[in-house]
Amino acid sequence: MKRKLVTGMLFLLIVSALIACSSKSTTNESNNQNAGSSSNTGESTDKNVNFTIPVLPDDLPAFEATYAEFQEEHPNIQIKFISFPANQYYEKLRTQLSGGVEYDLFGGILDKMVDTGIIEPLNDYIKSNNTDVSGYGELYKEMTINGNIYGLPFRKSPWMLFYNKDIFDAAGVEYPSADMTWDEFRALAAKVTSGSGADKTYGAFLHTWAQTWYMSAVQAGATVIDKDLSPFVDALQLRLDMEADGSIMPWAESKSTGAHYNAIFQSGTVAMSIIGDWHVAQLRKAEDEGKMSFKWDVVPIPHPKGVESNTSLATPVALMINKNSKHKEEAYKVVEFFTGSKGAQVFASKGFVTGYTDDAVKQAFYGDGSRQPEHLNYFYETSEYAEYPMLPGVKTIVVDGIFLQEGELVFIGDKTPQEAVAAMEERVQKEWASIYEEQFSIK
Amino acid sequence: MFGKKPLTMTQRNRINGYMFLLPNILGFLAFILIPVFFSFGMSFVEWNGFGAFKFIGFDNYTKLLQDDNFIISFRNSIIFMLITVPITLFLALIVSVWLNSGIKWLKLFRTAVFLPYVTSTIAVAVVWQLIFNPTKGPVNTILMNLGMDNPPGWFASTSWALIAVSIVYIWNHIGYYMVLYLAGLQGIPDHLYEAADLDGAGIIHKFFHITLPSLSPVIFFTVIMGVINSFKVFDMIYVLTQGGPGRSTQVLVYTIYNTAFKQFDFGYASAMAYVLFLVILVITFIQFRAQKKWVNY
Repeated sequence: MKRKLVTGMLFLLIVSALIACSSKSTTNESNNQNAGSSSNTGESTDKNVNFTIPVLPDDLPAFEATYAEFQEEHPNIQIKFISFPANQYYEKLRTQLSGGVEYDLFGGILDKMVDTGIIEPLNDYIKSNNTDVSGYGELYKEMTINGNIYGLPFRKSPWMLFYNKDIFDAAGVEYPSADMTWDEFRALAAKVTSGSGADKTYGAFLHTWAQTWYMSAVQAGATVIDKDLSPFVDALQLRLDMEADGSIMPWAESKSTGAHYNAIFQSGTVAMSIIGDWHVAQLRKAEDEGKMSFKWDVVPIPHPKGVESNTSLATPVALMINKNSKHKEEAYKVVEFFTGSKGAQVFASKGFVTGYTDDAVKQAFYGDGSRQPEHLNYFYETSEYAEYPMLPGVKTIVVDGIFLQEGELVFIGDKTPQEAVAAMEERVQKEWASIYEEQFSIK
Repeated sequence: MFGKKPLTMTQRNRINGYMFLLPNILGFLAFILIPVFFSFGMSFVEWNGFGAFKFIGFDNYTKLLQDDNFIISFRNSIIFMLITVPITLFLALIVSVWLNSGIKWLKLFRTAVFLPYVTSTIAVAVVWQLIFNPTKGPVNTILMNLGMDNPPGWFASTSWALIAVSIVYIWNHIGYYMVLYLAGLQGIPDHLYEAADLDGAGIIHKFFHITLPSLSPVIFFTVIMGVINSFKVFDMIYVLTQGGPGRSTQVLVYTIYNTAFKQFDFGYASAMAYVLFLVILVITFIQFRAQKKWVNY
């Protein structure tokens, strides 16, 4: 009798737990639908649609600013932009989508989302709306995955060389030229390096990302998933040589002190820094807050011999549409506006290099010329390669994994560049290609 | 069920009891038991968070055997456990015996030893990163002043990084085990020591023949917890080294996190987690068998 009662109670507990769980999930779903996509159910012709769109935190202010203009053209579409911390952005976005939150649109890098299978290809929308894609330039092709366009870019983050004019003036050295090979860059960095200990001024700063050492090989046409990665040997060697010259902060020291490109350039202790377009906005902010006051400018990043000057690397950040959205036509209107000329003008005025370019966008980017840097035009004169092939897993497994780890072993002296590149070749095939190569390709 | 006859006192008490347990059990079911079973099932499928599960049998497990990332992190986890558990427990024991010897300022010292354990890992990590800075940190400055030409590179060296992380981990965890040992020491009856004094036993004798045997149940518990905790280390690695340089501090839980939440390969990550679970289970089982030989109750 007693035992029966106990088992009965346990059974009851489990059942009630399950009921509690399932009812919880249903309420969640309906909540999420409200948050995500709900619209009024009336079938009037001029129907109202509500979108909640997650975007990366850096992009949030520009999206909100663009929305004011968007509303004038599309009063029936209400948008709320939200954001998650950049480090966990995709982790959180994917977990929410996987758990049933139905965002109709979201911002991000294509290769982090395409393998979900929930991204709507835009090919047909582009055709039927006669969207002008010429403004997206060369990068448009590199955003084609398995023949589909999965998103349109609102910015493309090209790399540029930032330099501190005051340091060059003090050293009596000419400013970096717009057409400079990597060897010339190395010599120049050595020339403007001075001091030691706490007074050390480094000729250049290269952040501890794999991109900062591998970009010269990509500029010459290599990609990080090639079977033959031998072009990357020279790229590794260049950084090693510059560390040996004493003209850049050694990798180990950058790592262990957590040195950051933004803080260190603002401190005025590095003459040149190679980093992306978003650094313009960061430096202008520091100027507004009175944290820095020296003169600075930009020139195209150095290039390998035989490669045209102002060949850069870029990573397009795009708006994507959820396949399960019930308002795809309206969603495409959003994509078209925010990534097209009108949206691009607002983004450009905030200092971002936009995916779409025309004369009006350029004008918005240059502003009235009262702000540094003087040579903003270089940003819109780049021809660029994608930083890495925009396929699933490449960023996480290859760039932030294999290339970072093996490169690091070279810079701390455990491996020679040749050994590291041999290991990269083997690991890229084993850890990336064996999983993704057959499923996805750029074309 | 309740309609037929009035409930007896015992039955009503029992229902009351279960009602009190209910909130906890629900939480346990929803957040621990169900996910544990779910991830066991998931270790046999391929799934990136979207679409249908693709059943692939034991493929995830066989893949582990040829995966360098898994093998390296498995090896690192074992090394980490072998370094940290004995040293942490040994030091915690020494400290607690010292604190229990009736010294002045007991509360102050006890707090000082325990404080690292309750300090945020992030804060701890930032401070240790400065201490272990290879060129400017105090540790290497002292070593160089003592005449060492090539002091260790600590977090910036593949051969030292795991040791450096271990040092931080040990320093951080001594306090927790010290408190457990202190409680155990205070439970040892004074008359044992008094009798030993009468027989003329010295400090060393008393430690090995009274303190250690009386403390053995606590030591047994701390060894088990120590092993489990060392296998679970994640936050410290994540903040201090991110598994680097190279893959020299990549431990199992860090690799599981990366596989699941950066590469979105949930099935494969679940398989790794279950291997980790099995390893801990086997080690704990062996310890339970071995305890009969050395633990006194």
